[in-house]
Amino acid sequence: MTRNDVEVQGAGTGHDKPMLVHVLNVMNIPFTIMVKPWGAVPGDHHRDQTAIASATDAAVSQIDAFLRDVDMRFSPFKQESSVSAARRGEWSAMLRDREFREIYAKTALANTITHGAFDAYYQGHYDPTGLVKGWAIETAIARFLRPLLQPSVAPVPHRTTQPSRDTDHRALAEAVAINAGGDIRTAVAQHSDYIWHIGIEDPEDTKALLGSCQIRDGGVATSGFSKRGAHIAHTTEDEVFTQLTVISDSVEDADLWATAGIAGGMHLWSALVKEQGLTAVAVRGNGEVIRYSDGRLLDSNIPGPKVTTAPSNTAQSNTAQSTTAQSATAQIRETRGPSC
Amino acid sequence: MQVQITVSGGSISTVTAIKYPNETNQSQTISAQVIPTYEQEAVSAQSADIKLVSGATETYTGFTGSLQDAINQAEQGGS
Repeated sequence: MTRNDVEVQGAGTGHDKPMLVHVLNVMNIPFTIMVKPWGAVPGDHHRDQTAIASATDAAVSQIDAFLRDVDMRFSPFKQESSVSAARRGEWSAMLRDREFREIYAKTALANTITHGAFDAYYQGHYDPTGLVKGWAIETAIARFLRPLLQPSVAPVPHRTTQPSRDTDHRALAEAVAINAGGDIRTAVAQHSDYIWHIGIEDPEDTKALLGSCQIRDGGVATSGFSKRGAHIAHTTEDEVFTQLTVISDSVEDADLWATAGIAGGMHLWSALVKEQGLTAVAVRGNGEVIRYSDGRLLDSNIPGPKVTTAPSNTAQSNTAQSTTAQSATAQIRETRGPSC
Repeated sequence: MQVQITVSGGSISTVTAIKYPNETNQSQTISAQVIPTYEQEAVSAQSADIKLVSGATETYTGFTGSLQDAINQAEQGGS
């Protein structure tokens, strides 16, 4: 097993650091899974800790199996995968695998709403990898971790000790998160005021942070060049960012916009920021950091494309395009529902 | 804004601001906030309270010793 299970803290030591942490290795990506239990009931600390620990263990095992299954079906590096078959011209997975269809539809939509910057057919071969990872994280959160945030949690097949009825109405966990090699999805229980603090890495020094963001239920994804070299093929001759971090409602969306923004260059990115109302932190080649919030440029004195200056004639000409992009986004969100 | 985090012995020891934001932040969306990391809250990892780190795609091979790995170790209680 490549799992690196973290020792759950015992009842006597878990008061100040109650976060449960597990790390999975799938597709050579480190998946950090965090579960924050609700504060313990006075006098019954041990029982609560045991229940959330075993529920988390079960969820982590299910996530591990799910991610391995996704890898088996969607890896372009595995000859027997559905994606490899499609690359050889054999598309039968479209008929038998609903999730394969879902991914295919999403890659097509992604190409449209990013004006071609996201391209699952780069150099002619179908490769949905850029979308599969975000989708897999979203799905893992929705299927296996979000149930821990719901009251009267039942989907814990491996749980042996039944909690007593007086506290069973309470959710086990207050907050959950997955960080898949730098792409993050968080979720928080309905009555919790917990806020996830997320650091944004400095591409020049991966031990340093450029800044941070705070989210409750949402996604943060970063694309760039600090670790794996140029793993995103540029579709432009325009200036490209060294690193781009996007904060969105989901990691699937955040990853899509971050990938498109890196691949498509600065001018296309500026258009996408306005059309989609994006929140992001970009790092230029000269190290300069640019922040965007809800489609607006926060940092002034930026040379090159001016996102802040939006002359009325430009805004007019963008209206039709923008409407199309918004409806495409809405479609993506709709299709996500049934899959989760 | 730039913040330097020092990792020693598998846990975060200090967080130091090495560049400063030249403007304060505006109001953000409810679900997502991008904020500069101010010097006064970057005194220690605990007060910065960073639990997750977003960066360009990291491999499992290179995970050991990364910032997220250090945070994970610290969250476990420094094992």
